[in-house]
Amino acid sequence: MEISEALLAQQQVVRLQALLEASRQLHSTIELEEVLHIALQIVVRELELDGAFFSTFAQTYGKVAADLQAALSAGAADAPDDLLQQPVLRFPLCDKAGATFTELIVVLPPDRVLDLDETDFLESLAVQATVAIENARFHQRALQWQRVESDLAAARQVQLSLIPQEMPDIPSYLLGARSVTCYEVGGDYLDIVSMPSGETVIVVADVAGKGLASALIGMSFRSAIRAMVHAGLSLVEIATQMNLLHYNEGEEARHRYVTGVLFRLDPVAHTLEAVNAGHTSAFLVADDATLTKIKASGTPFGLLPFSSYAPQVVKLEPGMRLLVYTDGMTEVFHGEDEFGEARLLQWFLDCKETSPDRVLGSLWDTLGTFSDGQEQSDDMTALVLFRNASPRPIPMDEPRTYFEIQIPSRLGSEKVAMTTAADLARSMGFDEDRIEDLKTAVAEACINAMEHGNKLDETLPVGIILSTGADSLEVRVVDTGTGPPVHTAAPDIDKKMHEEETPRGMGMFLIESLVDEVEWVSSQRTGSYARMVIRLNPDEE
Amino acid sequence: MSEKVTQVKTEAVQSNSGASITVLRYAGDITSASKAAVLGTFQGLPEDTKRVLLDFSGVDYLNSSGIALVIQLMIAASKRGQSVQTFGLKPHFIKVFTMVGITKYTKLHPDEQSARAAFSA
Repeated sequence: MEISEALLAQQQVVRLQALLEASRQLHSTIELEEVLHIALQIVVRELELDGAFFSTFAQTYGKVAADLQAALSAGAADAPDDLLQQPVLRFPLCDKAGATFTELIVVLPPDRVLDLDETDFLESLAVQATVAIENARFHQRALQWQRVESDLAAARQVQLSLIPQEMPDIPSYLLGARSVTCYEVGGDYLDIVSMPSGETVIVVADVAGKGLASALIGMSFRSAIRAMVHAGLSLVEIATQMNLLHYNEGEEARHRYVTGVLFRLDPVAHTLEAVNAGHTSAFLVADDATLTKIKASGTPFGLLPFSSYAPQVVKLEPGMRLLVYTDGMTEVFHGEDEFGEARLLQWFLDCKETSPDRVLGSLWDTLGTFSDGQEQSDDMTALVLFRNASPRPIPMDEPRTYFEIQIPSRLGSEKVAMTTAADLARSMGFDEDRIEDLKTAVAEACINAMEHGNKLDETLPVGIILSTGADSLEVRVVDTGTGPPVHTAAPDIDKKMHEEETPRGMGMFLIESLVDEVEWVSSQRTGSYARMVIRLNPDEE
Repeated sequence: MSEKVTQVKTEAVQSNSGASITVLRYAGDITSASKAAVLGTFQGLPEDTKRVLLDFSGVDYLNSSGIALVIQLMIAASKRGQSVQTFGLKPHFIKVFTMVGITKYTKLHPDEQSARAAFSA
């Protein structure tokens, strides 16, 4: 009896050791195929069984008849009696919620009966296998998710690369645009196409919904619209064709209809043609704060099989500003309170920023403050167009001829303005001394405009408007700032030498000393300018 | 039409009385971008330099930022007890230097010979 008990205890120890070893092996890998193989191998070898398999996996170990496996697989009812020539035992494997996700099925040799220890061993092994299989499946899902994430990141890069990277250089105009997606990729579409004619086509559109599906529709939309723009179709023709094309793409595309507004800017005639297809109204604000809304004239693209669109043509005067946006810009919330179109319009009317990029920066800041840092809930896109301010010439009795050039706010480029002014003055008969005076005055005014007015932002131009009369040359140097730099008194060389005054700050003094007349004009709407005049016969004035 | 880089050449000459003079010969544009050429070169001169002659005969364009650098050079020279003479400025820049008042601290000579002679005076 004692010997028998000792043997039993020894057997239990061996089984326990086997279970520990089985556990170690099961958890030594996170590859699902390996986990299944190890589990089945341990079961068959440790208990000297014929075979084993899991009801929801194809893998088997040992002798498992294919028809038996098929019959006992997940979803199958109990196997017919004729298949059960050999005894089988089933051990359910349950997930954390208690639901059976597979069964360990062991095939016993004929006439073999498992004792209690062996059954305990299999139950314990099933528990260990449950954890190992769940870990392996989690690992598999993580790998799959990694691939999806990598795909999304690549898609995001593609979409970002298709947003205009640089704003086109349009004489007398400044453009700025910003698009931020809610998820990795988005359904807002922004495009700027420079035409060989010198015109620029601008598109801001919004595919219904957001995320990958909307982005795919947006890409297809982009290709079609670009082809039509380059084919030279009118905006109304493009809108009509886009509507039909999108509708005929099928049911899925119709659910993801597109609102959009198309513009064609003619920078010579200073006209802006617009066609709005069910999109939010764009705001066009004149120098005197007069508002023109570019409203929808037809339904969104792809919503209905037919739609008619009407073009809206506006004349762009100096100082006019356009804001085009998607609904993500107005559907920003503070609790239940929506930012809305009215607030956006008021903000734009009040906005004193002097370049499109600054307007966009301020807009995003304003929305961020309004939402109190709440997470973005939709794709957000906005585009701003400025027609550069040009101070209107002061009416004069005598006829004058005007010349206008623009230079970037890059130190050194003032020499272009100097040379132009000098050539003009020379052609009018000014002597070389006066021309040298004019050159220094123009250079200093340009440097002031670049440094103080435009803060050396190279994207902001300095305008130089030269007008010639019978006996005078007037030069206006225009920047985008809101006022002239602080006026400094005549330099005090003693103070400078004793470091009681900055060694700089002599530009305005030199201008005032070198020309016959100078005026500093500040305008928040139209930019600021210095007006300088030199006369052929100054003593006569 | 970009800015011309400021060039500077340092040269040692002697006055009529045999005193040693360091000449800084500038060429190109003198603007806010000329700090290294104007101030850097001056600061690199040996501490015992007594006489500095500024030669602007190769300078085509000089703006208010460039004049500010010349003033800073003269402040540094004054602190070191160095004497500064100037020549070679084009007539328009002589007018501008005079307007600003620099002539109170350095004489603007018409040529190198008179500038060198001014040291021995």
